[in-house]
Amino acid sequence: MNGDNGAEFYFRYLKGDDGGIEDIVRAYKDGLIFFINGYIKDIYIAEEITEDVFFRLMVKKPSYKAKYSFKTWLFTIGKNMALDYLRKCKTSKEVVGYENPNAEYEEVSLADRVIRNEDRIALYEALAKLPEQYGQALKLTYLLGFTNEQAAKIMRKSKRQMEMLVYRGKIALKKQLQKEGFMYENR
Amino acid sequence: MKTDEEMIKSLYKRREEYYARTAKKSFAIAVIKAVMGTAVPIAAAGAAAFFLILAQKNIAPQDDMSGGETTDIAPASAGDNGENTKKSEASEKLTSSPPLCFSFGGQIYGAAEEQGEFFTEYAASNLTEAGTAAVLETEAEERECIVYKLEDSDLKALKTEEGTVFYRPIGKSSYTVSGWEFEITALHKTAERYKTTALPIFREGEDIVFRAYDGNGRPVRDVFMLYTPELLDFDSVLWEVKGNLPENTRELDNYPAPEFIQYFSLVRLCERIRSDGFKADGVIAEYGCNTDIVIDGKLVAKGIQLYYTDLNYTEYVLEAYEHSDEIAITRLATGESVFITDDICDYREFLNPDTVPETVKGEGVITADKVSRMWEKHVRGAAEGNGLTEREIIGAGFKKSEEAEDKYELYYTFNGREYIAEAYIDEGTGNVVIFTAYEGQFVEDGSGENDLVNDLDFIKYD
Repeated sequence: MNGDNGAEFYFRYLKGDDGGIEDIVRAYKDGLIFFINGYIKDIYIAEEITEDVFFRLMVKKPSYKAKYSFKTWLFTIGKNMALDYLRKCKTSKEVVGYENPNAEYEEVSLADRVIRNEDRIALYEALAKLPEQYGQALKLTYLLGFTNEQAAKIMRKSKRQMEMLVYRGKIALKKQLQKEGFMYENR
Repeated sequence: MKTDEEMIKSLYKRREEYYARTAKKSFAIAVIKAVMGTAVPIAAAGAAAFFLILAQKNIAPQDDMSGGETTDIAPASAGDNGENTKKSEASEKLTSSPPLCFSFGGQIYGAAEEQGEFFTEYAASNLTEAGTAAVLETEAEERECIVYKLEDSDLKALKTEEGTVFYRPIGKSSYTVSGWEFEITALHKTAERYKTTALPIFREGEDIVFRAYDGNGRPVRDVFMLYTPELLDFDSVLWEVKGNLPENTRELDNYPAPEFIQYFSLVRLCERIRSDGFKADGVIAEYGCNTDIVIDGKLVAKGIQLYYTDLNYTEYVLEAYEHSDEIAITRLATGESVFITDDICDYREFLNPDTVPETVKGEGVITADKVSRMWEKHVRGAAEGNGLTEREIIGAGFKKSEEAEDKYELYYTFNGREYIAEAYIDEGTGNVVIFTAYEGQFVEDGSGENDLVNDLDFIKYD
């Protein structure tokens, strides 16, 4: 993946340079919140979980081996922690999320940052309405820049399954956009 | 929402609080050692530390010893603030990355770096922080470490010359041939091959076949591992074959018979189509004759065709057509039935008709056949304006989907697997615009591990 310097940042941190973890936060925070929010559906809790992911790197210092890109590895941890959170909520019957009048604004604002230069908030809104797996597959591959293989690793799918998810996701997205009056010109 | 800088600041604060709490645990261990000496059994030390820590009222048990499913990073208790100055020495020591250990099956295993990949795999979700203890390293050096408890009934520990290797069985099958009982287990996440008595006879690229021989040197069983990238990564798969295998199990020196070459042409064809993103163009000339579908001078779909035989010399023809610019649909014909799928590899069962269980030669096959014929009509008919209609879809038993108004679904089981056929209707014309079928797992939250098990396919000689 182009421009993924996360491994370098992380190794710097492991060698004692706190600037490494700061660079990681700056490089991945928004994307990770955006991604985790796809599972959690609450932008504030997604932010907390994202912070927990970074905190885990800081104090647990899990070993990273360059089998996958750092970003893939980081997002995999993020996904697992998001799922853990959901499992716990299910077990304890807690209510996920809480009312916050700014939540919608914050979410759109974050999406705007992640897909900046594209000016396609309509796309994000349509993505949010897709079945979860379709939405996550498209976010990973198109908005967050992962390859199918990397996205497959994060979502624990085979490459083949990922290709199918992206394919079906695109069809579903196209339909959703058309339903909302979006002119779809490419196909 | 927090800015980057706010989150960084928050992280530093949490780290400081975390190490302050960890320092207290280290202090408790030191007390135990001082009282009981260094030869304290690890479990006893851990338990004692646990109760000592609990005895310190300002440390909530759930902070570090929770019995929950996963690791919690709980915020520090309010009482932590300001108390860490007394333990500055211990704190400093632990700030330099305390090693990680884990307990599994009643034993505590050493520092995480020795099981680096294993820990990475489990770092996020499968470990529960269980406390702090001392652990004896291989050279009798005693170290303190944070212990994670691992409860995973599927996990196995295998003692090898290199040390303990953890693995998760991904597939297992037992069978009997000529009175010999075989059990093959494919183990995953292992560093080295442990034991292989059925040797690979063919490995080119990512095709792997194991062949076992009887006492006369006659082949009795081939085991194919196909289509699953994880399995094809031979170095990450450990094959363990148990049973009364013939003594003269051996590796073939030469390439297999011509029918095998044909068979593996199909295998490679599958892989090529997959790796090319289901575009068939590049492989037409190489693997078969061109069977492009041209209607009224217009190219509807690019196609390829491959004829081959199985080990019983039953003839097959496989066709693959590009469709929707992205996916190749395929048809495998045995002379009796025709099935169409979007994945050639689903049809490996039909390489030998004998391997199709009786139970699947019923309703499921009829439905699958019906779906395949509808598919064919959809592809061929779409260009002529007489493709599938909503009426036909309903007549075939499709039900309206809850997911979308213009979508119909048909669930069916074929050869022991669940499939879903989907049809999307154009609201204007009432014609089917998208028609597809796929295994149900694609829409479920399957981890993929079941797929691995299913990919162990056994084909028997006559």
